[in-house]
Amino acid sequence: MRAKDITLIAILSATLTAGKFVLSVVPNVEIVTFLMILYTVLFGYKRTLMVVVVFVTTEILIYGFGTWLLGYYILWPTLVILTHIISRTLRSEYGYAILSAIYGFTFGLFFALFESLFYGISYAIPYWISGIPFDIVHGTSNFIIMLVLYKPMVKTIGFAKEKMHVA
Amino acid sequence: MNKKVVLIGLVVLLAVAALFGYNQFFGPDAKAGEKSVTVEIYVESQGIDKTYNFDTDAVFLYDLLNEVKDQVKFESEDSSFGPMVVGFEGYKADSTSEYYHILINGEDAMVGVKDVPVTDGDVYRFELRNF
Repeated sequence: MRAKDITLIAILSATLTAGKFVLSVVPNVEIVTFLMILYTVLFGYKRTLMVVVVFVTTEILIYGFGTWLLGYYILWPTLVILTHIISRTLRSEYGYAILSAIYGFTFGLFFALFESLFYGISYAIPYWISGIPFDIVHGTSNFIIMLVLYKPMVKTIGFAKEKMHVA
Repeated sequence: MNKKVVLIGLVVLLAVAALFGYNQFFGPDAKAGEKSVTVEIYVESQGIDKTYNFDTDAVFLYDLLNEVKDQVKFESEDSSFGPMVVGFEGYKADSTSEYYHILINGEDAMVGVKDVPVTDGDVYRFELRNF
């Protein structure tokens, strides 16, 4: 790995943390899903997976150690891998908008499944059901953010990428 | 009109409909609670040993305690780990040496009141203990 990659990973993961921080006042509206998909498309899945690891580890440093970290360490890399798989055949923002919407809608469900490993299924079911309104907001906002921001951001970051001579 | 704007409008409408549907199915309703649970409060030093039976629809124990707040004189404080039980029956735990230990059907609770699901037939016991 070159010094340029290390710097790039640091900057990209910082944008995730900052993006999450800024939007943390609005429950379940986040830009992390959007940025992860965007970075996977522009910088490749290998670099983005490292960005995810740095991002989740930073989350732990900020919010403390908890059972949620297992879900984070699995769900975010899964998003990157899924994006990588579909990006080989897909070029339109509509596909990514659908992916990020599904990710948002099912985030609570999968999270509840991971939590059930620690606390049992009787905890997971009410946890999931009580979170459904947040999942709806999460999926819907993910969809809108992707549709509105994908094209301009690909253009802008693509331009910056060329300037930085990143392959 | 722009295709994207129409699509976004449609998705927002669908989301509002889904939220409405959720409230219809899972939202609180006026009928009596479906779950019967027992809450025990034990503070040895004050001679408090009370048992209550509640019918509730609360999903988590914290919601139930807030529902019956006036009856059991429930007090809580926010902490970085979520709400913490600090008082019952007018007795507030001395935060330097005491805490309310939570037992569910006689077993130690692994999570805080906000994360304990209310299950029909369960016994929730709050015992003042020293540390």
